[in-house]
Amino acid sequence: MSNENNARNNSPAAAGGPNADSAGDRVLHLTNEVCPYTFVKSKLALEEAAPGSILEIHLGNSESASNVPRSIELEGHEVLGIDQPEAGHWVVTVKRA
Amino acid sequence: MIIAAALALGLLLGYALQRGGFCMNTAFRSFVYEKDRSLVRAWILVLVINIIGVQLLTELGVLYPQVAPFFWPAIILGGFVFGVGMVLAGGCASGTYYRCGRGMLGSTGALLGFALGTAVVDGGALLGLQRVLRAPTLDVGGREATVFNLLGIESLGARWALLGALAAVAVFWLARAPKQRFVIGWGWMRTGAAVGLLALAAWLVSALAGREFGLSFTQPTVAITRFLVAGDSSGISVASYMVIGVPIGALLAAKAAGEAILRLPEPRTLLRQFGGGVTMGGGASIAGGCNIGHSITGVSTLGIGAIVATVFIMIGSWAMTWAVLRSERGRA
Amino acid sequence: MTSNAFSVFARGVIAGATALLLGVIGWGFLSGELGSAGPLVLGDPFGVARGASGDLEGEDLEGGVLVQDERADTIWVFDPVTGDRRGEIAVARPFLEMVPTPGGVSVFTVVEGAAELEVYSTTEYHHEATIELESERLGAGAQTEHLLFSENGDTLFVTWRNSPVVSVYSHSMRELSLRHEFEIPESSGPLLRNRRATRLYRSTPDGPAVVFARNGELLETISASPAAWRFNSGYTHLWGVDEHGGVQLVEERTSRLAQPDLPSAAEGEPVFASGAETAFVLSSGGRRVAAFESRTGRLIREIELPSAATHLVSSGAGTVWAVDEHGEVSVIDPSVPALQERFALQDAVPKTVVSSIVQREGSFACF
Repeated sequence: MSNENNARNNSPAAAGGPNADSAGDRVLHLTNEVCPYTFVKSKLALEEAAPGSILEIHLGNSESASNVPRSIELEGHEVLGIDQPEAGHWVVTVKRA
Repeated sequence: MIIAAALALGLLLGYALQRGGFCMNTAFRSFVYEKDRSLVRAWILVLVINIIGVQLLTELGVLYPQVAPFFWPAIILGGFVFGVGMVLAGGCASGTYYRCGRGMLGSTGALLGFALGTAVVDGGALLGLQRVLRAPTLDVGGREATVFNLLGIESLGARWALLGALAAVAVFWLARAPKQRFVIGWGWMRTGAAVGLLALAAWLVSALAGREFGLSFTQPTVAITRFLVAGDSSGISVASYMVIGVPIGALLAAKAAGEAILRLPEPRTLLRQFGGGVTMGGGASIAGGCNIGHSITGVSTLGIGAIVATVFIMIGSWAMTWAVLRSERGRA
Repeated sequence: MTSNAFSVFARGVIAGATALLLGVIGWGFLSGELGSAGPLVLGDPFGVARGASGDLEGEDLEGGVLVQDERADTIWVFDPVTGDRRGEIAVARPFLEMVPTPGGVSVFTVVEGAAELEVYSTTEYHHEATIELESERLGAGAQTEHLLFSENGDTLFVTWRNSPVVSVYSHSMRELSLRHEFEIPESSGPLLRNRRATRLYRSTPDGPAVVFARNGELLETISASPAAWRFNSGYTHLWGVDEHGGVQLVEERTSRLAQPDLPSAAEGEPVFASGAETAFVLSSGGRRVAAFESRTGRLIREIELPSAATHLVSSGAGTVWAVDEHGEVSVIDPSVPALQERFALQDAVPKTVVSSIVQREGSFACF
């Protein structure tokens, strides 16, 4: 989908975070998912990721965009930034603890 | 005029739900699976406002709250089924309504499923099931099953001592809340206060029309469905107008925030959400209410049935979230 | 920017909706529609009929007000809003009492001098069933006197002539099966129930006896003089009118008795309109209707009637009907309260009058 391409081009760089396309990092597209799948899939993706690696989560609704990073941070991971490249599209960049 | 007020209330509620992202599915799930308690806090604040408000208005003779009978098999099973359904549907009854308003077609599917599920059990093909499960009811010495009657509290002082103690514990916990991070829209406190006051206002608007209950979503959904399908308007009440206002208010809030976007999930997800809606609707019709009718309005009457239903809605949502986690793990 | 313009628009809508909501609730309190502030007699500025589900139109209400005719074996069915005649039910056998089912689709009549009920349809106006009642305790020869349905109609409580026995039947689609029976010592007259029919009340010489509906265990006897008793619509207070016209009021939660002061003697059973908080009682030989606050017993006002009423009933459409012996109806608007209009029930000479409005959502189903 076009908005996802869009996001991939401009978001992490704008946040000043590491380049999302770098090796070892993962991009998770959850723009069409709703709770609880946004939470479940991000949680599982983080569990699988190597410590210190960066995960970029694309979310399509405001609840998820505020709940997912809050929940992740309380799990001890580092939220590097939340971007909104366009209306109704949020990108959360997380560093696995 | 009362109908206009009911529509206005629904509109404001939809606005508040959307701005605050008030999702009770997330609130209930977070008890077990997450460390973030922001939505739980919003819910508890809604309850504090409503329990105190409803009891006070009852003492003053403004309201005569109706308490759902404690038909325990229906409450336990229906609550559990509702909890399972709400995870699959991607939102509770109220969550489904407001997300539908902002253009999430998956939630529209869930809403259609919810309407179907409620109508099938409540007066539809599975009416017998509802009847059988509701046959055994428990009461307290022949009086309605409420916390006060259960504890044998009759004096004004004792009632308010208990309410004061409950409120103090809740407020103490809320006051110790850490600063909420990553807020989009409203924080938990503003959301809880807004939804709480609107739920209380729903009691008053209902009382003006002779309906002795507050905010609810299940019965109005059945009523609207029957009206649309069979032209039977007998169930339409002020509550139906409130429910109609919710998606409109959510659309307004979402549009103002630029979040009103039509979104079509994958076919699989759409089907899952529809099925979740049906399950949720069936469960709500068995238990006699949903996350609003039982877990907000019912609890504020201190009805034992509503409290037990809430516990089983939670258990259902935990069980289903566990199943989802497991299946996703298996897939990865 | 358009999004800015929209957000101004959205704020306007939200402010307007909030103002409307607060305005209506504020009006509710000021006018006494909410709470016991006492009516300021604003009339009904919005013309909203208060029924169980807000606005009501006569044609939306199936069933109607049932009138047993004095002269003939007939039950007339009248429109609860306009008073127009809707139908006529030919009665199979003379009866003592007619009791509509809670759903309002049928009316049960107690056949005189027997243990039998005749059931008629209130929407199709025909005979539906004859039901024989059996009592294990009383055996053959018992005569049925009064009937009482639970809120959802799944239970029927029956009392018998000159007997303290209460028989409890399961009811489904005009079929009854005896569940259990018990005695309320020294009790007589009709039964009353609380909202969920978990407690029953029946008059004794010492006052109403209160028992568990499931086993008949006596809980208490409320000390009061003999009276015709009825619950208010919120089931918070029990109203009684004794033979001297004294009004007695019992709070359900505490069983505390209050005896409000009365300017004139009341008569008959008190009547409550659906959803309203006012009790209505006939007084002055039927020439007046006294309106009371149903929770305090405070007299709100007395309403003069053009002719002496013999029956006072809730019409089921949010109003109260005072019916005289010639079938002339004075319609009372309970929200004011005042006389609203007057019409005649065509050809009826009323013996008993009850309202039987079909309630598709009559019992608790869901919130």
